[in-house]
Amino acid sequence: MADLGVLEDVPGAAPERPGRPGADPGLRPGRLRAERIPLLATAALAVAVPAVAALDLAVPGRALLALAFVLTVPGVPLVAGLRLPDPLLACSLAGALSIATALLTATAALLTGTWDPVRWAWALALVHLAATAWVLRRGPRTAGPGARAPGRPAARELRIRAVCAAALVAAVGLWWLAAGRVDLDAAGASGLIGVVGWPYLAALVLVAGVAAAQLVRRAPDGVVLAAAALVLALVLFAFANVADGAAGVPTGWRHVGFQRFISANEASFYGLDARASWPAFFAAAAQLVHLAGVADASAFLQLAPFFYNAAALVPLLVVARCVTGSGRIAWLSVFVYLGANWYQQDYFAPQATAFLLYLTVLATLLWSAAAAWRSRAADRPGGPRPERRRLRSLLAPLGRRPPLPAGLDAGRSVALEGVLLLLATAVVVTHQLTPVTLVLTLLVFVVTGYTRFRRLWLVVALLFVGWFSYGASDFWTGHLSAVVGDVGQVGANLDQAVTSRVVGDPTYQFMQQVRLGWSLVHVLLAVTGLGLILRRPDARLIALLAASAGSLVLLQSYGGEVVLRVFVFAAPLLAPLAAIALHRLLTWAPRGLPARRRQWLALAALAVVLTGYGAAGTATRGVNVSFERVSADDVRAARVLWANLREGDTVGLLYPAGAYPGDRYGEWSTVWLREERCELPPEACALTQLPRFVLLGRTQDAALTLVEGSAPGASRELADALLRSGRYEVVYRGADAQLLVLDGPR
Amino acid sequence: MTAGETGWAALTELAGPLGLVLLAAAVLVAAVLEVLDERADARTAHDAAVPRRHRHAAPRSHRTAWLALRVSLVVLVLAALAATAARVLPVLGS
Repeated sequence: MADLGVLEDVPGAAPERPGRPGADPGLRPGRLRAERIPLLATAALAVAVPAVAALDLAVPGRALLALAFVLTVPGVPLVAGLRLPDPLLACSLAGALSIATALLTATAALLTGTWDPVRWAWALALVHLAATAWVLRRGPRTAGPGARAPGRPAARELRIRAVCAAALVAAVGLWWLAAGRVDLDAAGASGLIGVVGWPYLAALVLVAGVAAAQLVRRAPDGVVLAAAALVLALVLFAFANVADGAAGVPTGWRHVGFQRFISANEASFYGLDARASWPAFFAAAAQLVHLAGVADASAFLQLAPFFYNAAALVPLLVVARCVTGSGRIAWLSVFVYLGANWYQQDYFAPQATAFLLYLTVLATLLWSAAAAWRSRAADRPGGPRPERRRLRSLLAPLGRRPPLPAGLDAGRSVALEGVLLLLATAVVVTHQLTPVTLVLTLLVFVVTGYTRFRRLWLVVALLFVGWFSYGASDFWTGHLSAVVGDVGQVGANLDQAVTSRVVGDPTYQFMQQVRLGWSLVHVLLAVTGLGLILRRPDARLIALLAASAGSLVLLQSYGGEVVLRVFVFAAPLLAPLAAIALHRLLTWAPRGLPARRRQWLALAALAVVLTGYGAAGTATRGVNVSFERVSADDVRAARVLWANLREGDTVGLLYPAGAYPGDRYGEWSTVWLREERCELPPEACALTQLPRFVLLGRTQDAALTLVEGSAPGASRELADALLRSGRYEVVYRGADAQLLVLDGPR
Repeated sequence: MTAGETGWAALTELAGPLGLVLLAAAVLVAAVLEVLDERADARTAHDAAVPRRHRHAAPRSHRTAWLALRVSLVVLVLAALAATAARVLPVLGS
């Protein structure tokens, strides 16, 4: 990352100032003073949350306080102690470290049989208070030579901010209006984009306009761009859930079921599901539920996609700044990332949490590589030497150890590596696939000579092998050959992930192809962007990092989801690369055009592109909305089911849709009534197997119509037939779901 | 059961706890080496900034210990992987 002059940089976009190792060039007196506020605020939070939980007080906002506890304790003071010069990176690391600590302590509590969320919260609070005292006692360091106090924005700047804020508030208002008016029941094969209505699109135009107006300014305002990115994340990722008044994606409800199991049994759900061997997320959710004083984790489901995307923006901005070398293009990358993120892997799930930790590790490594090489370039007159294309120069990176980034000394570098190791350990116990990607990423940094942490990949790989072999033996015992059988089966893995998904209703198939096409456009833009920075010495690193995510296809089909995961892991690199290409495309203008007109042209083009990204993101993400959504009525039907279930009961379903897996996990079993599963028509299947309950609804109907190509109304017809048979009666009937119970003995 | 089969059975039974210990030891040695590398690097940076007569070369014993740690890391990693494989492979075979 030595040659950052390929693309223009933006004044005030905070590129790291060059300096000598050990100095603190990035720590401004203002920032040091400002650090006291979050330190003291989180110290108060660290004491308040366990105290409120211990006394079980019904304090308003207790759930939000508990969430803030998980996101800040004890990461804030520990990362403040590292005195990183980059505040954005410090924020990401503080959050990630707190989450990782919650995951690890919850796992430890589960495995050691010391399940007591309040006691563990007190232990974390003590660590937090001790670290806070240590950081505050050390006091502010001498600021570096380049230190400057943050200036107040000028009056004109404030006026522009006010106009942008008004536009963003209007966008949120329009979005809210759209969420209130939308009829999700009408979303058929074309998905969400067919029903969102004009207020939603107007909200997208407003957000795109604000972002574009800022991005073409000489000095874009980071505060306005951050607000615009948050509003775009809200518009794109919270719409269906807010419109439904509940939380979509049935798997998220299954995770609530796992959490409830752990809360009730103080043990993982071994023997019931393979995910029991990676219990960290579910155990941490159970601890959070206890601290928050809520019934279950469903309280956190609705806004989880918005939260995960909003939280990813901070490390993503660090990654994008390192990849693009420009604050302006880094911000553009953020909007590109949000618009291209249709993969729906950001619901309440372990992979979303592990991805956040992975992204923070990636951001830290890229930042330290960029900062180190920048300081080396500044030390060497004439800038960095281009690498010679010889075998020796190919092997040279293996023995290269980049210098310490400006602002870090040896001790803090070791501490930073310790923090990364903690994040990696949390990833290992949280999710199956993310550690593999993480090890590959760390290895790429080593072979390209861009990290000082040369054995971190080995340690993480050993931890993964250890956890997989010993911690997750329940998972692989009995079907290890199935786990390793996909290795090297690229064609089969791709077929399972791509071809087998383009099925069902013709319009639905077309929309699936739109998804593939949209991803292809994104990849082509990223490849073009890579081509534009190919002369930079770090281009090889960036290309290999993106390719390492793609190599997952060689290893696993991951239940047909591996291509989705490849895109998820590559997205933080694809987005900045695509933004570089877009920036080049959008700033092109015929020669001789006046500067003012060029700016207007760029503004219009950027606004159109960003609106297009938002609309394409809505269309591709919302394809499955008619059966991945979970309406408030689905939740009511599921609650009636849970209230009436007895241990050993059976529940008949046509398709896994709705909120049914959210409780009583392991106490009942499913009877699949679909002909492919039962080998009998649904009615005959139900009357032969006689499950005690039959849960049917609109979302199951939609799935059968779109994915299986069945005639509409299959679940309604089945319900009518079962009621006519006299063997079943209605327990619950709502607008979207109905629950039948067996009348009499089986 | 032949002596060979008995020996293999004993080995696979031992492989479980042994693999775990070896993995933990390998992680520990790798972590220690990372810290030592960082300290050595800091010393090199310090040496570069002071006149030659004030520099302190690392004693031979330090260098020997360092080499021994590197070699033991390789041995531990290989042994840990072998022990883990001995535990996992029979399951794969069945």
